[in-house]
Amino acid sequence: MSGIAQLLDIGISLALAGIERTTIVNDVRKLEESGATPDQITDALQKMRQDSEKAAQAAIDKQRS
Amino acid sequence: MTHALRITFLSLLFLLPGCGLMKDTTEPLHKQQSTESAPVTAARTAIDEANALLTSVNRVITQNVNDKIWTAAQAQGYLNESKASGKKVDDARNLLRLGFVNEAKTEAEAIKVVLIALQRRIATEARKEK
Repeated sequence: MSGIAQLLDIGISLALAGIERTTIVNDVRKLEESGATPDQITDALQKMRQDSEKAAQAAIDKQRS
Repeated sequence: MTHALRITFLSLLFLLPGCGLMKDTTEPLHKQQSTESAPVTAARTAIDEANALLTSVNRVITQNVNDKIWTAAQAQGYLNESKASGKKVDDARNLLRLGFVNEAKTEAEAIKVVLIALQRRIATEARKEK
């Protein structure tokens, strides 16, 4: 793989991480606006993380099968 | 993904206003002022930031698996690291619930440092194996 292609790929991964961060921040804003307590927001972020773990595991398992 | 598509995708990210790269990715998670004490807010923020970072890492892992960029074994290695950090974040949350505020904050901040390193590693390793 050429250096330029690799740099582009790294850029895409960083960009994806940035987009994900923006999505999460927007979700937190919606919760804040709906009047959620800090504890409810922490619960929601924990669930978001757990769901993302399950989704990643499912994608890996699917690739294995 | 072909080179042309990659270039188009990145160009759009850099040029389109409102797109991920155009926004400040260090924007704080919480906008509203908390009614909790400053130490509790600091601990909670550290825990929330760690969970947000882990979610972001896991979603990039999912994307790279779905795009067939990584092998299952390679992705599983990263996901295992992420899951282990997730358990530590849950421990920090339990410490906060039990009233060990400083310990919870210290734990969550330490995890965040590890996670930022993991996120950078994932980005630089992203497509090397392709």
